Amino acid sequence: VSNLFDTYKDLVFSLELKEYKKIRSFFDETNIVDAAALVDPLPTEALLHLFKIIRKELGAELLTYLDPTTVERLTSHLQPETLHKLLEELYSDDLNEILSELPDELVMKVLNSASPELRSEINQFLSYEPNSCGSIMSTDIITLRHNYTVEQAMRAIQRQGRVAETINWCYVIDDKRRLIGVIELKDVLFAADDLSIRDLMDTDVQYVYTQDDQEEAAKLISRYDITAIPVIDRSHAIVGIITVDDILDVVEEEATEDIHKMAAITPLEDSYLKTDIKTIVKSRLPWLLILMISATLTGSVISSNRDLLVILPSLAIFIPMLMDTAGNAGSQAAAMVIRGIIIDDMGLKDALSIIYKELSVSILMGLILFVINTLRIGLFMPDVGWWIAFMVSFTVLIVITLANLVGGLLPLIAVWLKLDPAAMAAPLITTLVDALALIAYFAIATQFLRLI
Amino acid sequence: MPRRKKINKKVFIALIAARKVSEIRALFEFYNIIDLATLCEDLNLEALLMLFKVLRKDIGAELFTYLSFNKQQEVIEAFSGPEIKRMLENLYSDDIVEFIDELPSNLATKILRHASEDQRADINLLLSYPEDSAGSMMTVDFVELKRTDSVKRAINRVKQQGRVAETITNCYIVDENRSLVGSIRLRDILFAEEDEIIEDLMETDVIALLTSDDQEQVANTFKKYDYNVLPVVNNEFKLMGVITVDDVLDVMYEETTEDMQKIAAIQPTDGSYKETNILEMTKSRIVWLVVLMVSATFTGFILQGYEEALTYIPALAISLPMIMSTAGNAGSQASIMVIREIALEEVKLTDLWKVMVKELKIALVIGLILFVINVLRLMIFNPENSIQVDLVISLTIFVTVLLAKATGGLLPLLALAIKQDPAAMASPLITTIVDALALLVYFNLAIRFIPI
Repeated sequence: VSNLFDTYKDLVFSLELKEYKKIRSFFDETNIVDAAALVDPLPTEALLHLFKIIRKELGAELLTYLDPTTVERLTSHLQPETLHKLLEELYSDDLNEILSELPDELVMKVLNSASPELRSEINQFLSYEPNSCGSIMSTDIITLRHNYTVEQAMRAIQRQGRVAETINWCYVIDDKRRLIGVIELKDVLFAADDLSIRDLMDTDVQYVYTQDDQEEAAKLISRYDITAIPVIDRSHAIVGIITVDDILDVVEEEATEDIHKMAAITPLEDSYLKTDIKTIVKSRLPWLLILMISATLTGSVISSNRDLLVILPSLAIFIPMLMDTAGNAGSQAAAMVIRGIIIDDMGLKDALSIIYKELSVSILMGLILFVINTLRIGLFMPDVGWWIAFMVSFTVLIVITLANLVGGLLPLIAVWLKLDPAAMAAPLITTLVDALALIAYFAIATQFLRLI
Repeated sequence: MPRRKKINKKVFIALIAARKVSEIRALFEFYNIIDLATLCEDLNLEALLMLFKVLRKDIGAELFTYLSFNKQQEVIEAFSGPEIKRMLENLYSDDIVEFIDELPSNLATKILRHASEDQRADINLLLSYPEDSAGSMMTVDFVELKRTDSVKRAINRVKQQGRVAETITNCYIVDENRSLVGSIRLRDILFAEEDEIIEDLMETDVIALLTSDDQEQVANTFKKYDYNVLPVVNNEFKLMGVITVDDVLDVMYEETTEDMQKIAAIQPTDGSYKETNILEMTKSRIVWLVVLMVSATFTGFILQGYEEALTYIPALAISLPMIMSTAGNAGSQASIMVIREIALEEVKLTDLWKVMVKELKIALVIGLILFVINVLRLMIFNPENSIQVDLVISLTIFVTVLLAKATGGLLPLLALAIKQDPAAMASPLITTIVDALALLVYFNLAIRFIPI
């Protein structure tokens, strides 16, 4: 890494001196991802120069790993013919990804310099909803006709294989290009030449539709432990493929979104350091406001029990502890159930088992916290007195139970209302649970005062 | 026409109960093994054992890998020596290891006793790597070529080794010392002339993982370089195994779940919500609850110190929950965003200054907006308050948001600096720290500006 900077200087220098051989061998030896990181900071003139002298395949490959801003600089300055040649070399899903990052006028420029076939392909892509399976698929697939023999299939694979996204999976189609089966390359490779593909193929094939959400593809790929999933259109004709490596990004994006939502943040498009202040404020402010104002509710619980606070001033001391413990317990339960909904398809049908589980957990945890809390108050805050310590700890037990139940059930209710459980349930839980905790606290304190 | 084949659960159970051997076999040929495995979860041990007796051995082995751990354990306990032996012959070594890792040692020894010598060596090797390392994730079943091989020879090797290999898309080339010297895609072998030499065709800039790499590092490398397979080498660059991208997908789901749990102050559990029993569930949640409850003693102390102020100005107590929850929410928004960025390697320790500046700017904007809205809110909902009280409460919100955002941004990076897990350390602590800070600000402002 230490000589990376030197390499960059070398690259700039070699470009100035027109040492083309040296540059070519540099790109041959360097991993494309690392090479792209060096190309990104090049000034526009050097960038254009570089793309003129490197092989077109290399240029296309570089294009897929460059920063979107670099691609923008390139596309706005490149000659239409050079651009056209680069585009022809790209895999269709990479091309689509590049286009989705470009501003509209540059997309038009790209469209104008594309060949008619490529143009119709791009247009097709642009018509898919963002985040749909159609928008992330690659159209470079291997298809075999059902009546092929193994020998014919091998030839078809050799023909289509050079540009295909993956050759591990070949999809078997009928006369109308409808998907009817799948066969692993291994099984074609090791089979006798005269066997028929129809007999070798597996008819148990998972697939998605172009209009399905990309999350559907991620779910099926991970559930069925496959490395690629075919994409079909409404007439069941195969149009593309989504491979695991495309799904990694999807899974990661979705996970970040869920985590943000649980922290009461509206999901961001870009990474933290790249996002400007205004956008971050916009993503955080709404929930902060809603939660702040809804805390009026908790305030009014205290305000209606003001007399109690006057009689027993030490009650106020434990308000923060009770609210924190309730909030923590509630979000623990919520986090587990929300993740269960996303990964294990938990839903309303599991309500009873969640209630049972949360109740049992609450009783166990509540008892432990009861003992520890009584000791804590009794030992650390001797002027409060054991009676109050006992009463506060009893409240903890009740509050934990309430919090766990709310935390466990609120995400389910969100699902039932067809709302996003992460976005709806998690931020609301603290406020709800806070109010419940205080209501319970004051109710218990009142009863308790009557007793002594 | 492609169909998503759905098995009828009743039919499945009925066929098993009636021991219709040939129908059962047909079922397993026709339907997806993972869907069938899900149904098998509800079978009793006797039925399950019958199933393993009648199924073809390789299908039985596949079914076994997709059963839950509890079912797997039951089956293995009931299996005889020869049955275990036959099962092992049909399993990939990494699948065996994944299972053995969790077993009590007497059962693990029982399995190892029946493994063939080669297999036992493989298993012991894989078991010797730390859990969650690249070494424990990798499979040792891959295709290995010599640099001097001709294409014809190489294809023969692929055919020999390919039957048991987990993937054949990428083959790896080693020298006499078994050091990794290159990689080649299967399609580049298939489409080359028979007499070409592998050394001339292979890629030499191979990205390799170390056996000691952590699984998170593995996932990040796959994402960065967009590969489907990566080789794993030891410290001497000897080729030990390969990891495929579908295993990485599982790791990503696992890591995300872990991160979400840690953020919600839960110690990560192995199973999903449904599979985790009540005792484990309690264990995973109780620790942080106790720690946070006990550390709330601080907030208790602070309140105790200002008991007088609380008694004389009742309005102070009413706004307590609102201030605390706003502080907590603001802090966790910042910390969770930074934690996620650290996990994705977008933010590093060196970005500390950038993060601080950004959070402070964000806090200024958000703080100001909340200040104004809160003054208005208090004037409308609590008209009985004096203007001083309204201003003190709102000013507290402003200062608290600043402190909370700064702490939230800083704490995860501090955890990183002292080599602790940011998600586990920073997130649960934020609320407690920020609560204490908020209360200190609140009462100091109140005593100074509100006449008693």
